[in-house]
Amino acid sequence: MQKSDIYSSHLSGHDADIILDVTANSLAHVLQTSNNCDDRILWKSHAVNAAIHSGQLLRYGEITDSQGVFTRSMPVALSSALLPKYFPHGNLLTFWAALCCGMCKAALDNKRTTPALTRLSRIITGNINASCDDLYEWTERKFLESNAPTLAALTEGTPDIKEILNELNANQSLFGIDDGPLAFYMEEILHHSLNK
Amino acid sequence: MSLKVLTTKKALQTHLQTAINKSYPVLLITSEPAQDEFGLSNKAVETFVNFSKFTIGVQYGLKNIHVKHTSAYPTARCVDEAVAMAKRGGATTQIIGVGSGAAIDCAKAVSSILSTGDNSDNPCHKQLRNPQHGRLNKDMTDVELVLAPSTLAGIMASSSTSSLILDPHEEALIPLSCTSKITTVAVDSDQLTLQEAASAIEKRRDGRGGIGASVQEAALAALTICIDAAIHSAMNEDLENSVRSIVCWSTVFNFSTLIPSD
Repeated sequence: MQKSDIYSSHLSGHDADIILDVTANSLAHVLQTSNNCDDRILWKSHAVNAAIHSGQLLRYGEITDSQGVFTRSMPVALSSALLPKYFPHGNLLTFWAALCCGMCKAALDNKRTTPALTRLSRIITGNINASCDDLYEWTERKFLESNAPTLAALTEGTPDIKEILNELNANQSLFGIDDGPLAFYMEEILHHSLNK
Repeated sequence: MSLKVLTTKKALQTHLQTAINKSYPVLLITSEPAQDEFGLSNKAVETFVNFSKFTIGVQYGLKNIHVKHTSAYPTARCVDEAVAMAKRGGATTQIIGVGSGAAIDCAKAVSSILSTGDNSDNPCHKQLRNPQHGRLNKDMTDVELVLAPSTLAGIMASSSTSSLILDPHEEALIPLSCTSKITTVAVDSDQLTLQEAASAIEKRRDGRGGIGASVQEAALAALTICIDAAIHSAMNEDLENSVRSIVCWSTVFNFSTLIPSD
C-alpha cells in the first residue's frame, strides 16, 4: 500500500498548540462539572467544542510535498489495527476513552515532561503547578467516575498481547508506515490498558 | 481543504438556504441505526435523521438521492455503491451527510471520490489499495460537502482529515484522505441529544461498548487524542534538535577541514 500525498492541509505546530489548549479547556470543563450542573447549555457546547477540535488533532499518516512524512496518531494506529478484530464490542470513542490512562502512564514512564504535556496537565487539572503525575492521577479518577468500560472489558475472550503486537506491526506494513518510537509507546499503552 | 463549522441554532437550515443550489439534486447519506445485540437502537440518532430528512426533502424541497447507512463502519463496497447511485442520479456536486460517525465518514469518502472525477469501477476499493488512484487528475471537481453530525463521534469525524473505512478482509480500519475543497459542518446543539454516562450504562447492561459513547467517554477520548498530540510535539522537538545537531556537527566538520594542517 502506498502513502497518499494528496492531503496537504496539516496543522502547523503553532496551530496544533492552540487547538490542543482549546480542546483541553473544553474537555476539562465537561469532566470536571457534573451531569446535573446548572449551566447545561455551556456544558453541552464544551462537549461539542472538545469533539470538533480533537478531530482536528488526529493524524492519519499522510505525507505532504513540503513537510515530509507524518507519523499517525497512536489512537488511529491502535484502532486501525485492533478495533474490528479484537475489540468488536467497542465503538471508536469508547475504545479511545479506554486508552487514556495507558496513554498518560506511557508518557509518565518515558519522562516526557514536554512543554505541551506540562501545559496540558495544568489546563486539565486546573492547577498551575501540576505535573504529568498529577495528570495521570486526575485521568485515573475521572476514568473511574465516568464508568467507561476498560479495554479488557471490550475484548472478545482473552487476547494474547504478543498476537496483538504482531497485528500492530502487520498494520504498519499494510500502510507502509513506520510508527518508529511510537511502536514502543503503543506497546506500553496496551500493556497498561489491558491490565486495568 | 477548508473546514467551516457552523454552531448556531438551525445551522443546517441556514446553510441549505444560502449555499445549496436547488437546480441540482443532492446525494443524501444518512445513518439508519441498526438494533444492537440487545435489541436496542439509538432513538436519538433516528429522531435527528428523520428531522433532517424532513428539512431537506419537504421544508426546502431539495431533490435528493437517498442512501441509508446501517453498519458501524463504512466499507469500500458501501462507498462505491453510494458513488454509483450519485452518478446515476446526477447528484455528483452536492453531498449531505447526516447522522453518526459512520454516515459522516461515508459522505466524506464519497465526496473525495467524486471530487477526483474517478470514473473507474469500484473507485473506493482501488483508492484504499493505492491512495494515488484517480487522484492525479489536476482538474478536481468542486463538490459541496455538508455534514450534519448527530453524535459526538460524528462531530469528531466531520472535523478530521480522513475517513476510516473498514476493510473486512484485513479486519482493519483504513484511512482515506478527504480531498473535498469545502466542507461545512452544521452543528445545532439544540438538536443534539448527548448520551450521558448513566443512561449509557443502563443500555450497555453488561458493561461493554453497546450503543454509542457517552459524553464522558467522548471527553476521555478527546483527552487521549490531546496526550497523543503532546507526545507528538515532543517527538517533533527531538527531531528538530537532532537535525539542528547534525547541522551543527557538519558545520564544525566543514570548518575543521578549512584549518590548514601542519
